[in-house]
Amino acid sequence: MSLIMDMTALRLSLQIASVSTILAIIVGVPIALLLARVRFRGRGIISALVLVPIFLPPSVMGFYLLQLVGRQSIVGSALERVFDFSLVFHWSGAVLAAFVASTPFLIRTAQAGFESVDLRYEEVARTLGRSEVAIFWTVTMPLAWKALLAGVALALARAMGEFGATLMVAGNIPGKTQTMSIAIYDAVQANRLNDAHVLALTLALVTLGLLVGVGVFARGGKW
Amino acid sequence: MARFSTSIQAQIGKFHLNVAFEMKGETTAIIGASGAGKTLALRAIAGLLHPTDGRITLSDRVLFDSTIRLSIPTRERKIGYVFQDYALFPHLTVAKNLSYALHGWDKNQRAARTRELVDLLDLSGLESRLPSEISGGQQQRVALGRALAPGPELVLLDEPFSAVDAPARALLTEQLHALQARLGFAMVLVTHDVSEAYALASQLVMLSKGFVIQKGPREDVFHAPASAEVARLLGFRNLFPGRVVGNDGGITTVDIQGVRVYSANSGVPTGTLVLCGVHPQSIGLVRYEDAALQDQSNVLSVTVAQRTDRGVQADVTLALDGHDGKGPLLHSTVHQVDLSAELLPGALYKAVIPQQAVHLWRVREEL
Repeated sequence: MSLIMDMTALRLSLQIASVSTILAIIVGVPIALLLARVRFRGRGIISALVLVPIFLPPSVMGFYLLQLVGRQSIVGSALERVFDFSLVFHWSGAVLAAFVASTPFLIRTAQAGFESVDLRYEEVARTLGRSEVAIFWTVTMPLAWKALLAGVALALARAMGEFGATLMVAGNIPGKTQTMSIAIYDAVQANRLNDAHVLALTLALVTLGLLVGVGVFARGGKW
Repeated sequence: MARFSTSIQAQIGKFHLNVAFEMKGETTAIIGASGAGKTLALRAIAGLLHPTDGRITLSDRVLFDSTIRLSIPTRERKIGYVFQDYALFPHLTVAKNLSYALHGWDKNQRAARTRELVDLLDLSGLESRLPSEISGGQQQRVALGRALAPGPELVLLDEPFSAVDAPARALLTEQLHALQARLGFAMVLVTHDVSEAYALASQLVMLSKGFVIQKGPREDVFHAPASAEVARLLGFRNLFPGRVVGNDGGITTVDIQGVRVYSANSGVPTGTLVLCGVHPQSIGLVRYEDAALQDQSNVLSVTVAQRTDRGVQADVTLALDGHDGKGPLLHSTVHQVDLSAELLPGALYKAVIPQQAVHLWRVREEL
């Protein structure tokens, strides 16, 4: 194994996990807020559906994602026809897998965070003449952001470690779709145990470092 | 002075709320037991709860009108609301809490207004503290200041006295009076504490199980409770079933377990079953019978059964003589200044109850 490849796998893992986590925030936070604050028909069903990726075996999830975006699927063939682009065997496919696997963790944690913010704070803010958007940014977010950050950390960790579904959708192409997790598997398969050790330790330390970084940020920069 | 009127009906689960009253300036107190719907009424006025029917107006603004499907959102109602446990923003300092409603203001004006509120509410030196770092009384003043900051015409207070001790209550009453005089806002407060309501409000709305059972100027309500239920809410601890046995010259005679009681609140025909009510504060205690009292008052021989000191006043339980302790017990509230050292269990006294203070309510026969 060359050092270049090693770095590429790490870079890919970080890239995929970051993009996936940003998507998870963009999609997950509004869903969490909706589930925490609005009582609507079908809320229970959506709550349950959100959890499905947590319970589904990664290989099963990967298989269904492949069915969804594969070249033969409606979505996949449309993407290919219009944009000449395919998620399969592409790092964006890995993003999709990581996103689907990790967003439920963010939604659940953020939802609990939003639910822990006493409704009366928002109500009193309304009596004080503030708009809903202002209330979200001045009351709800400041009181829920630690839970939100915990959700982001969980999603990030999950995305960094995503393996099964990623392998099914994006494959194992060194330098293109081979993430750290897959590189470890690859190294073990090829009996390159030393490489596996280096890769595993690197991934563990980087992930731990990210989580510690998030934790420190949550404490306002204090250790 | 703000004119305010509300006439609303709301359905919250199985609970039905039907509240209507009008006020012109000053203060109205909604009095009711817990679960009577007091807080729901405030929430409806503030727009945090949507009535099914009715109309709410504040001065010349219509805030809610079901007939034209109008409901002004809470943030545009300009009604201050002080929650029972204040709901101060825990992540904002005292100053930031106070100025939260002043977001659209010019920076200097906002600072000036915040300083004014700090001074008015005696919060000097606490500006940069968090709500968790100040006392309960201070928190309450911050909540009040925060609600008053944008200059609302009407302020709603939910159980403002529930979490403060007796000295703080008196202080709060004074402060509310002073603030009201200075800033000119009207208040609707909700309480189960009659004495506090009496100290602050000129109008009372008695609420029971979601319905208004009596309303009007506090003296009218207090001196002529419309029902035993109102009397109970007003603290009439002496309520005894009896039967009217005579009507003569505007004085009604009632028999209560063999004791004759005379009431100047006439109009109940002889033979009617009644509930007879006397407020503990209306029962005076004297050592010896004074002939001058007898004319307009009931004088009953009693033995002190129990005395519980409650700071400025004492609750005294009295057993009527000649009943071997099995007769009705009377409850009297005696102010500290009138308390004598002899007023102890076992002491013989005369309970003096003015005929005017004996209220009668008809009871249905089957009861």
